[in-house]
Amino acid sequence: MANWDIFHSDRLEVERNLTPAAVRAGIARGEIGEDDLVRPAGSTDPWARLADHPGLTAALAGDQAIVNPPTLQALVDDDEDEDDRDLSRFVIDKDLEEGDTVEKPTISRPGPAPTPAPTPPPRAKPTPSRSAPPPLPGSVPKATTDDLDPLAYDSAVTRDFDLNLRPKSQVVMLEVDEDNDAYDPDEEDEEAAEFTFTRQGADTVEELDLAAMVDVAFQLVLFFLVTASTVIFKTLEVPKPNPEQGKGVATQGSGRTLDDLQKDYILVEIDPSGGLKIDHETLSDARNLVNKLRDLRQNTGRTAMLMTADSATLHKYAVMAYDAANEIGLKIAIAQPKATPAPAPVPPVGP
Amino acid sequence: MLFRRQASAERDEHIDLTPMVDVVFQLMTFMLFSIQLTGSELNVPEAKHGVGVPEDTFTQIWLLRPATQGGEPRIILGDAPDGPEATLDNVKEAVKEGVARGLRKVVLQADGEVAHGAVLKTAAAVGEVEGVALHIGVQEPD
Repeated sequence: MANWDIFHSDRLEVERNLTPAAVRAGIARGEIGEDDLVRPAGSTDPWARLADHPGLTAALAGDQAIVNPPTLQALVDDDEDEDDRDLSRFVIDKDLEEGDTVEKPTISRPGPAPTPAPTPPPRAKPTPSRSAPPPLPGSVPKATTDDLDPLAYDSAVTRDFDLNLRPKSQVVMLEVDEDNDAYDPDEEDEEAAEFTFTRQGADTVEELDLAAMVDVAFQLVLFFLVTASTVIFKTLEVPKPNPEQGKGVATQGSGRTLDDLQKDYILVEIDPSGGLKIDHETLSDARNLVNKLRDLRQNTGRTAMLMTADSATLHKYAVMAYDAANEIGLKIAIAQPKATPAPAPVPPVGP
Repeated sequence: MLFRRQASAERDEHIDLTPMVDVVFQLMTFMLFSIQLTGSELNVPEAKHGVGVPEDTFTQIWLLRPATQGGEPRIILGDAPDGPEATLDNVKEAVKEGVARGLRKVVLQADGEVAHGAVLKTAAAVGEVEGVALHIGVQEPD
């Protein structure tokens, strides 16, 4: 029998003039695969895939090392009623990635397709990625290298789109598994995950959305800013008492009577319980203090307030009077809280 | 693979908020601590027309409620009402010291429940120092 030239498509080497026995041995060792190309030695025939070459296939038909091909019967049966574009059941060769090189030599399709059923693929241990399709029953066409011809497409992208949009009858069906287990779509999906059109989910899902937290934090900061800044440093300027008067030493103003003072000052008296008297008239409601002072200022033209309070009067009542005077722009004078006939005012200070 | 998304343009649009959150939380911590210092022991009277006084421009005197009913109010000097009790002489010295440092204002933070007479006594001690202005500490009404 004639010898053969073998083109190893995986490492792009040519072995010439191999005897059928050597070819058989190479197949048994796994060195020669179905995708490798073959032609009669010394001829100029176009290269053909080893699995598709009728002569060689016939020559090797009796080889005992060949294992049974995996059955795809279940897969084919299931596909009968499905939409032609449902590709989820197809497994596409994972090795067809961008940048991969595919066999350069021109390839000719063998004339009549060989009858698939009786001839098992001449391969002992096919590698999953490069294995040719096993004989397919029914109408599913066998895969040929034409289906993988990179020159038929502008780019890898168009090729892949094309694969997925072509009708089922034109899509290459590749071997799925080496054993005879039932077809498991989930398992296939894992293998073909890179090729599915299913969206993988947003890349940013793991990120925490901090916007809401920032909103809350800023509100807290504003709250603390507003509250903290108003607690401590708000002040009312008040006149300094004359220290000499505090020590009970008689001073120039001590001889003046309240009536004298009332010409210049609006007199505001506060008793220890917070009761108010304005110009000796009791003011029942402290909330009217401002209005009363305003009326008195307009009616009498006095622009200063003399506050007289008992020693035991609480500080907050005094501050209430200071605040009222500030509100309408009265100057403030503070009388010494002692039982002198005429309390001596301290010099008033303007607001 | 071939259908992998081109570049990560979407992610680049996000501002990284982490540093801002850090700063905000530091501010919050600061505010929390600073508001603690003004404590519950002192409750200055409310006034609508209080004028803000910048920090570090005045000598501060605290007048706290007496520890016992009818006792003398506690005078405390310093930035916070948590120091040792002081006398009127201490007040005068502190005000003098403040004037020497250029602090012409004295803020008397007196609790609203302190007797008016006690406030005036302290104010008189302040008045012994020439050239200072006396301010009474108040807070904004609720």
